[in-house]
Amino acid sequence: MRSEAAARRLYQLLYPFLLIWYAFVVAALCAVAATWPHRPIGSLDEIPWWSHAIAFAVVAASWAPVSAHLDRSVYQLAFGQRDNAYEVAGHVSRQLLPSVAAALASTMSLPYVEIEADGRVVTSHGAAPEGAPITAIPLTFQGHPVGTLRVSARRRRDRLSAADMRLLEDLGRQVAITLHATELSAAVQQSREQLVAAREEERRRIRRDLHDGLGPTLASLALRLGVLQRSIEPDPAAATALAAELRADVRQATADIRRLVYELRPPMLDELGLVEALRNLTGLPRVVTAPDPMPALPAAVEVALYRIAAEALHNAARHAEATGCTITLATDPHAVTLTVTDDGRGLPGDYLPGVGHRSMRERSTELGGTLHIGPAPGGGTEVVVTVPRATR
Amino acid sequence: MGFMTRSTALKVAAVLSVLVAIIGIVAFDLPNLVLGAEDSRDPFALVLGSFTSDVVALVAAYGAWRLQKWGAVLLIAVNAFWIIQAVGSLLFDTGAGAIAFASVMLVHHVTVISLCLWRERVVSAV
Repeated sequence: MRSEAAARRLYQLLYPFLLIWYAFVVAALCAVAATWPHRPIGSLDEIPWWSHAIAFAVVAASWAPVSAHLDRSVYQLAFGQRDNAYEVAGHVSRQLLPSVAAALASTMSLPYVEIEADGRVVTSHGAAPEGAPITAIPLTFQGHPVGTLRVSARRRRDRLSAADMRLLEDLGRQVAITLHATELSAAVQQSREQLVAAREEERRRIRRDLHDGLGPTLASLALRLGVLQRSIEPDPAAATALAAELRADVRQATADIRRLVYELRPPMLDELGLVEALRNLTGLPRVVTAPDPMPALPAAVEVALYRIAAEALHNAARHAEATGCTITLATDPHAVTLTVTDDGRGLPGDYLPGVGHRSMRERSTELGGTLHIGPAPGGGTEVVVTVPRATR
Repeated sequence: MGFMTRSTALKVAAVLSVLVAIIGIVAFDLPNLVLGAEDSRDPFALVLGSFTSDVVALVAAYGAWRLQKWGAVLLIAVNAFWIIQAVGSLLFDTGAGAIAFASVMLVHHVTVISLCLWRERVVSAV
């Protein structure tokens, strides 16, 4: 609490001080520039009034960006980066492994400690004595290899004792946990960046659709409505023909809007619910089985299940020559499972996942779910997707 | 602002301040202090103030080098004080050498203050 109060006091003092200082420096530089031709001056009274006026104008014009910049800088100096949790988490994870390596080296008097993951050196501490043997200790987390800990012996032609090795193996487990946590932190950051990128891509697509599709259509409609208005009295026949054209264009614009809305979220999901929407999908004849009543699912889960089912039906009709299928929805307190089983010829022997299958897998993975595509017990193909009911 | 970490910025600020403090002590403070209050070439109060600020700058640079907050704050304060000297020199001193030196020092002090307030790259918020 004391450090918090001290940081706040520092911020409250330093920020206005620097703002005043900025105004002073601008005024001083203006004065230097204004008095340059007849410098040096004898006293401050020789600085012309318009120098201060220019300084005032410069300070006023630059006040907003400079004060905002100073505010952020002084805030970070006073409080650190606590307002950005991701930055703090990244900083901690960046500092953690070097600290662990340094601690291992100092506590065990090892001249060289190196931590490696995915074939690259994540951090190292010290330098190995010439000729000293290097010992590699595999780092595993829950049975999976996550990296290697390499340490050098303390002297040339010296080897680590059995007690050293036991201790290093024990400590290696802690290092593996740290390494795993660091990798998770990096994965979270990468995932976050992918989410931001996906959102921006979606926005760009919507903007493009609105700008290139609906925008020109509506502008054209407005112009032609003006023509229609002017031609009603002098040429009723032409006006009637134009009105028919306009009606077709309005229908096209309406269809465009529907397509846009459908791509955002299929309207059937809101109008009918997930189960009825699956029954009303176009494509193969099907039997839909679901709990009654169907528990409410998050919107993202509904959309993902709907689109995966649509893709599975499309694949069954197009590639497997299926004549019918069953769609089963099953829920438990934590997850919902969608199973689409068709009666087609099944997956080919040289099956390779295509764009549709990858899209289905991405949709399930985005929600923390799993997807399995394989042969159905009674022939045909079975697509099973399980996603958590509570999206993260 | 993404190309330099905050710790690097503080260390660069510390090095720059140490350089200027040493130049100030060797070229200005010590010769005048050795001459004494009576024979000093410059006003002795100014000499004492300059020497004090140079010593404070060395201490602040140590703190900044160790990435201490007090070091950065002290460096800002000292360099803000030095800006007054530089501007005063630009306004009142004669001689091209003094003006050139004051101009370089002005840039130096503004740079050091900016480095002390350096912000690391922040990932854009969702």
